[in-house]
Parts: sequence; C-alpha cells; structure tokens
Amino acid sequence: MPPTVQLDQINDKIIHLLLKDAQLSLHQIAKECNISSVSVLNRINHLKKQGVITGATLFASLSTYDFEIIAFLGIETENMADVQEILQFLKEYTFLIEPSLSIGKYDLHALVYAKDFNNLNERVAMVRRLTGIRKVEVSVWSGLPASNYANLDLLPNKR
Amino acid sequence: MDKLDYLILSELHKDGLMSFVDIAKNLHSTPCKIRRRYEKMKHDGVIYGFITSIDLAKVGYEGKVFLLITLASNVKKAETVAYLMSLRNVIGVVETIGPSDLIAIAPITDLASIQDLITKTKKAPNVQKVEFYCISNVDFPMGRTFDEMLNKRCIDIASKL
Repeated sequence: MPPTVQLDQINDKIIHLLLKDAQLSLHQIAKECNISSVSVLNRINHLKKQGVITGATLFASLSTYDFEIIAFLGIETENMADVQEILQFLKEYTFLIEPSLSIGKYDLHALVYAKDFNNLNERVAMVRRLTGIRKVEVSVWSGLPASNYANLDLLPNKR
Repeated sequence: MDKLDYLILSELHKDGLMSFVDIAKNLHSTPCKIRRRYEKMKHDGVIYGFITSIDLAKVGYEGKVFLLITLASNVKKAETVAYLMSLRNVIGVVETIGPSDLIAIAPITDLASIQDLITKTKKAPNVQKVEFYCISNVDFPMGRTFDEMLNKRCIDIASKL
C-alpha cells in the first residue's frame, strides 16, 4: 500500500520522540529537532490532521486493573465456516482486544486479559463455544514484552 | 486507589490527550485535584506513561505479522530476544507459554517484508522453528478496542468502590 503521507526527517524524528513519551514538552522536542516550539506544534497539529497521529495510549500496570494474565488467542475455523460472521461474534465479546481476521497459522486473532487462569479458561471457553470454531490456541505471556519503538521505520517505502 | 482514581484512568482511556481541565469537568471535580491524583498515580508506578498512537497505514503499512518462534530446549531466551529486538521493525517480543516460546510482532508492507523478517528470524540464535500469521490491523501501539476494554474495566472497578 503506498503511503498517503510522506514524512520528512523532522516529522519522523518528532513521532519517534512521541513514541517514547507522548507527554514530552514542545520545548524538549524543539530542542532535539533543532527547530522552534511553534514549528513543532504546527507539525504535530498537521500530523494529527493528516491522521498519522491518532491520539495517545495510556499504559498502566496490569495489577491496577486487577488483571494477572495476558494471552494471544490463535483461532482456527472449520473449512466451511463464515469467518466474517465469527469475527462479528468475537467483536461482541468486549473482553477481547483487536479481534481480527488473520492469514497464516490462524484464521482469527485476538488478545485477551484475564484476572487469573480460571477467568482465562472461561473466556477461552466462550470463544470455543462459537459455531464454526475448530481450535483455539492460547499463548500466555510469561512476562511483559520487550519493546523497541525506535525500531519502527516510518518511511518503509523509501528503502 | 479510590473511585476517583479509576474514573480518571477511565477518562484517559477514552482520550489519552484529554486535559486535566476536561477530565475535571467530566468528573465534576477540579483540575488541581485531578492533577494531584494523576501525579500520585504516576509516582506510585500505577501509570507508566503515554505513547503516541499512529495509523501505520498512513505511512505505508498493510498490517502486522506475528512470528511464533520455537527455540531449542534448555537455552536462555534472552539472547534470541535481544537479536530479534535489533531487527528493523520488530516492535515487540514477548515470551510465551503455549504453542511457541516467543512471539515477535512487526508491521508489514508486503509479502517481501514478511519473507525478509522470517528469513532473519530463522537466523536468530537458538531458533528451531518459525511460524507466522498476519492481521490487517494498522493501529499502533494498540487499537481502540484496547482502550475500550480497559475503560470498561475501570468503570466496573469504580462502580464497586
């Protein structure tokens, strides 16, 4: 898919700074990018208008929400099953995050948070009960993910 | 944490950029009080921070690939994780209990970008098998359903306090 927005180097840098901390001050960003704070503000507003920056995501500790477990669900469906229909059912389970169609090892994917293993079992069982599901594979996170957003290439088509 | 703390988190899951003034308005409180609560949650390690969310499609991505990686037995995962994290576009690696030992996530532009990642992943230390699946979701770091689920959770907890 061709990019609809071609970022220049400064916007690339601004976004990468914001990926580390969305609350960075305009002044700090300006200093890092060697431009004025007003210019940073204009650029960020423009990136929002273009739909590149869509907001900010709050991350808090898992225990705050009284959750202990995070797991990926990899779902295989029966050959004749209506995958779109199953997806609609999955979307109604508000405890599932990003239920999506998938290509490859699984036909559908979702992320689930649970209070404990019993709660995880209940949630997985609700998915398994849906018509057309053949198999649900559960990958429980054994720790928090290592993440490196500096790695994200915002100019993927330039190479 | 009390009811107000959870309601503040709930507001921030609706909109991570919401100002203290707006949060105060929505919760019939004062910006000062909201700020104090917010600072305390940050200080106590409840709130880790905020990450700017972006639409990966706008810069040319088609979706994300999940690489399910099986390692040789009795090896330390850390070395493989470090190698994977150094690969371009690998935005996260999580150790898992289940069908594979590690799952790495990366945005993808096309078939070639998936092939490239799989080839590089197979060269990582101790890797025995690499399977994959792709989704067309282009929200980074997480989609709206993440915030919606956590928002609902905060409201549920608040209602019991």
